[in-house]
Amino acid sequence: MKSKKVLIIISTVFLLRVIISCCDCVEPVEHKYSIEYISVYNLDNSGQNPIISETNIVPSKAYGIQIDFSLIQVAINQTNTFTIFPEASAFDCFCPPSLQYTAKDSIISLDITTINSFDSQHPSDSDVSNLFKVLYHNSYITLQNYIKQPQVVYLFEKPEKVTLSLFLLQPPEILGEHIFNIGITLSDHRFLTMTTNPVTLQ
Amino acid sequence: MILSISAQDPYKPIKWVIRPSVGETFTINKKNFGFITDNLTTYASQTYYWEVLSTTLFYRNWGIEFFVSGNQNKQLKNRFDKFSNRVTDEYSDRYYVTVSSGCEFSENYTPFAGSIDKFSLGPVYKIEKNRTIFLFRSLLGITSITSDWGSAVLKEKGTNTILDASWTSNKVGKDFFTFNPSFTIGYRIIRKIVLNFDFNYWLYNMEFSYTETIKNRDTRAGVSTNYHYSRLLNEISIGVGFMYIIK
Repeated sequence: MKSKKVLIIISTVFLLRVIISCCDCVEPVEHKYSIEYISVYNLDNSGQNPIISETNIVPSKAYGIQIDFSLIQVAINQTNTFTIFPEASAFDCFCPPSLQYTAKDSIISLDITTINSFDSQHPSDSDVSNLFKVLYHNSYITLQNYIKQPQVVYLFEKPEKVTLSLFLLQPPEILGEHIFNIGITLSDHRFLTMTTNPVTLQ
Repeated sequence: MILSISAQDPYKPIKWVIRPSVGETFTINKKNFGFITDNLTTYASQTYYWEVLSTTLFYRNWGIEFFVSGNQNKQLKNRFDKFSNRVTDEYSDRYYVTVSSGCEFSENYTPFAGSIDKFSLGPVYKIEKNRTIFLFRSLLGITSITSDWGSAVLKEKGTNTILDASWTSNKVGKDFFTFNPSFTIGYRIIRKIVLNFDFNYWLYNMEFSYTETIKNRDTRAGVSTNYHYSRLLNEISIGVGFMYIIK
């Protein structure tokens, strides 16, 4: 009789464990990444897809700037929680990925300045950010709206760099050579800046 | 008169049959509307059909029949390629064209999956004379075709302009109320099996529309065009099959 009771208790515990393990997810390890530096390139979007211009001669209606953000891992956060059976876990039941990379900083501002005179309203050294847009979820959106979008969380693996393409949607009145300066302010008060190679817009 | 003939027959009057058959359906009206969306639908001018689920119950010479038939055509196999080519032809002078459509995923052609389905139900009148059987029907039912969505990204050559084109129908599954008079002549080859030839006429009003919308990704300004499919359709089916006499 006593052995029966013990068997029932052991069986019940085992069954409970089987049921519970189905939703006992591994606590995700959260890495932080930060933007280390940026690189900028002139884009030629006259074809089906934008390409980095090798000649730096681009049709004015198909001009764009590519910004490459180099990402660096800066910290690891891991939350440990107490469990009765820490060794047992299941990987279904909608468990979150075990590795996540979230942004440490966010972009506060993204500004484009024309070094040369762009048109009558945009003389040299003036801000032309409003003339560029980002292709985001099948829509062209302004740079202001782009930086308001939620930061990307990378799962399992952090890319070495991420690319952002900005497209000039109002071509300049003044064709010829142009240079643009990209300035990015991050939430940790760092300011990243880079200037494009001179590009001939024709 | 008919009853007296039946009474002399060596066979018992038929009370319940199943009647599988196969055949060909021809549309008398022309098929294409000439719209860019024509290949997004499963409407075809000529199809082969098969009736597997078909049964008739008789009380004396009157009865009631129900059947389902699947209709298919090999031409419906490459609907996505045809749609894609049509869109590319239309826009490739100025744009790089990337096409996608629901028929890209639903066109896995199988000869026994109907692209057009027909369901009919209604009264039947039977004349049995020795081994020969005549069936006259006046059925009502549904003819059902499918319509898929289509879309294309139009990237203007030499500029940053991108347009999104989409084609959507006002409803995905299109069921058309159908009048279906038909005639069958059969010959009893053995006691339980009747070889038969079927002649069906189908009359239905096809009525639906596709809306084409072209939107600029920058300005979100769009232009819409409506393609209205409206036609009174006449179809004829000729088929062969057999009746298995259950009772």
